[in-house]
Amino acid sequence: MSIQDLISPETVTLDLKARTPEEAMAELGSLLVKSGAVTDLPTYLQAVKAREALGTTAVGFGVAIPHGKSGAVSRAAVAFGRSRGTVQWESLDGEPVRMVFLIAAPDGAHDLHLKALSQLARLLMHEEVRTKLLAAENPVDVVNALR
Amino acid sequence: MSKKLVAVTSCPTGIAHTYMAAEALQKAAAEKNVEIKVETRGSIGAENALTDDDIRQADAVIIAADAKVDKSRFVGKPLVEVGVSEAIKDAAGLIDRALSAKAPDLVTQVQEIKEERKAQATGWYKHLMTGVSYMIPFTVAGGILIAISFMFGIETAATEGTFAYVLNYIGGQAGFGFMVPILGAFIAYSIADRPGIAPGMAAGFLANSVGAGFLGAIVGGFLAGYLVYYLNKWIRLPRTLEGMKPVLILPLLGVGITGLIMVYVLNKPMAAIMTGLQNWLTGLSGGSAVVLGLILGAMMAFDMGGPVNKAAYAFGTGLLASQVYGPMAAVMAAGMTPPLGLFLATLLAPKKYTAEEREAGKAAAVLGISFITEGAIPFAAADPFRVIPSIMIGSAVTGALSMAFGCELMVPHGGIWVLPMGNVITHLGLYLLAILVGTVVTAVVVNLLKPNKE
Repeated sequence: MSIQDLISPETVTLDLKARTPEEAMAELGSLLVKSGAVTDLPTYLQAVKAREALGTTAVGFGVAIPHGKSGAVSRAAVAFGRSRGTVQWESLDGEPVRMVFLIAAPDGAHDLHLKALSQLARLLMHEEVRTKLLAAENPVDVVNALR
Repeated sequence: MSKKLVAVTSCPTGIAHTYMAAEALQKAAAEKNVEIKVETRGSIGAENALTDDDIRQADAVIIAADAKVDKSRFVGKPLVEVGVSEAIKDAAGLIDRALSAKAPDLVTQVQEIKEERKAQATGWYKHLMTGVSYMIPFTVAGGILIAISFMFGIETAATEGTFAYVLNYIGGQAGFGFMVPILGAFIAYSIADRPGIAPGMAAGFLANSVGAGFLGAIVGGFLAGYLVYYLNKWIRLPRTLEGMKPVLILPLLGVGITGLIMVYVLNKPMAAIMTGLQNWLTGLSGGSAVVLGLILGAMMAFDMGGPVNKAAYAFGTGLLASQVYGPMAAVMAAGMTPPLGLFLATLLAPKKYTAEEREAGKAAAVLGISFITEGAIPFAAADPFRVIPSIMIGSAVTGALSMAFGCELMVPHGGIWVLPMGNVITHLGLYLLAILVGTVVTAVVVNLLKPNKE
């Protein structure tokens, strides 16, 4: 399993409407529902918000990675949203958030899923990757940037 | 040679931050030409786990975690601890901080180890240790006051109306007299919280009244504690009467039931065991005394303040309440030699120790004469298979000699600082000799086992 198995063009939006973290979570969460990865959105979002309450997931560099582990997730998946403006998100470096990765992990997730998620997290620390994501012109570019 | 770091990252869900922090540290380290190995403790479990060798070779340790990370394996290392986001935000700055961090001095380390151990203690061991720790002040005050009263002469101390008699009375009745009840009270307190105190104390008092001593109090304290714990859980009253539970129901049933069980069931057998133990201990001589000293001594050094050490310590201390003072002397002496022996070892063969260890040796000496056995832990953590057997041999020798010399100690703590106080110790000269011999044995053995540092 690789990052490619977690994210597909249909869970990517380059026109994220959300202005707040809650809106972003709901907007990207509905993409995960559509793709079939999340079965029960409110339950899943509860886990995401609980994690967010422990400390911001806006890790800086304009990126936020809200995430939750829940029984309402049928398979590990990631949704990506890029905003034309910014999302009001309290971030570690004070920079406004432009890109949001919403990560869904099932309860008792298989190690392979978690491993792929950990690779994604590592990728985001690299500037080249973030530049590619910012320059992406369509969802396929986004998926390719994470290769 | 480039500097080497080890790090541990961890976060609440263990899905993202753990790995981002690890990546950030590795990236920043590469830019700085610093070698780093990062253990990630995420939801996959620990990956890239640090080995003992990694830790030994590292110049410093970084812990970037929002979850609790066990620090005991990093004892003695310069260490920087931050939240996981700190590593994501400013990994380069964190690496600089780690490289300029200084190793904590021995006293701070020992303090931390003690705190950590206390927090980790669970179950019956924690309950027993809570009881013992509340008992100690009575024992200390009692022992020293009695010892001072004897400075006026044993005869005077026994003559009613004299000042010595008053001191002896305070120490004996108000100090030692409370040891056993307090031990029972706070074992029960540890189990059942406040409602446990009265029944536990009653159990200890009743045990004391028939000479069942500290063994009776331990059994009674556990009985009272669990009894009240379950009474509290099981008894359900209407809301309006709930207030009666802590002030009437629990005390009455707790003290009543515990008391009846003590008097009709436990007191007799416990008193018999205690009397047997007392007779055996006071009658001990020659070979068997030496064997007891060897065992107690080795136990004191085995885990340096851990459960085995505390078991020997509680045994020695508890016996004071029954006027048996020999094991206490052996226990304290044997608990002093591990840090003292290691101090001497660093003096005798400085080449076998790092500069930090030689420095730590000096602090260990002070901890040793103060009967803080934990002072040996940093040495033992760095080289357990050579250090622990050495200090066990030294402590066993000291314990055996103390028993063989018939040394008797009336206070449970204080190390060398209580010894000048008149009669707290019998055969002071021989006692010091026992400590000295064990110290030398420890130093010689550990230096024979240790290779030279290159």
